[in-house]
Amino acid sequence: MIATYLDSSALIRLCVGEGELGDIEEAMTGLPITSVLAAVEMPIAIEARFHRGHITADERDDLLETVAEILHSVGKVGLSAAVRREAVGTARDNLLRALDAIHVGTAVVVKRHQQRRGNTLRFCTGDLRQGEAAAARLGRDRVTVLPPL
Amino acid sequence: MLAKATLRLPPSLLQRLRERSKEEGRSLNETAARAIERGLGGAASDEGWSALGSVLEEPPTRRYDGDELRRRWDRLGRGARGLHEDLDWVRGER
Repeated sequence: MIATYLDSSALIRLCVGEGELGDIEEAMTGLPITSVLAAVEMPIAIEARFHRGHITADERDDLLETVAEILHSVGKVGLSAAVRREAVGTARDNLLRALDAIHVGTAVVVKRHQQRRGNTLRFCTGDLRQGEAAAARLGRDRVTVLPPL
Repeated sequence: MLAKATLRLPPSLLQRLRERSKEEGRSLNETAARAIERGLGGAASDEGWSALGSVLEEPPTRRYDGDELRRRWDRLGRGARGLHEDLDWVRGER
């Protein structure tokens, strides 16, 4: 069984249908996983877009509904002690911002859990630097970095 | 990537797929894909989530509906494009 960890940078593309979405949609029809952090990052990104005047209040509400719809279809992993430990461990060997590191650390914990059951985890991101860090922790062949927008 | 294929099914089987699709609230395509995968010994089932065990804080509550999402994209104005830039800002990258 293959599960896919989707970073917020991948999920946000699904909100607006931007870029190449084949890998993301394939993951969404399988076992898509992300961090509870995505449920904070994505709505705040939409609010920021509204405050900058790029979208109307109605468009903001539509996008927030879309995010909720997407996140209802994704399994979410919490910020456990193990996740926090792995996030910090990831930043030891890679130059990473905290939120990026939390996503990679979460994926490391999920991978460990999956391996015990003989399952496989893939990692999908739109962020090259985070993708490099994920490749170092999860294996290069397990990581998909989406083409830049 | 998802690949396209055309299948010719007995009418009765197609009818059963349609009924199952309606019962489960899934698209006909997803219902067919899951039935085929199960038939081939795959694991397209809810057991997949339980296998994730205690690491899962919030299991999914709905099936992914790509058709519904496409309808939402069609309603979006041009200002919504570029949302990834706002996510970068949220992450302190801009």
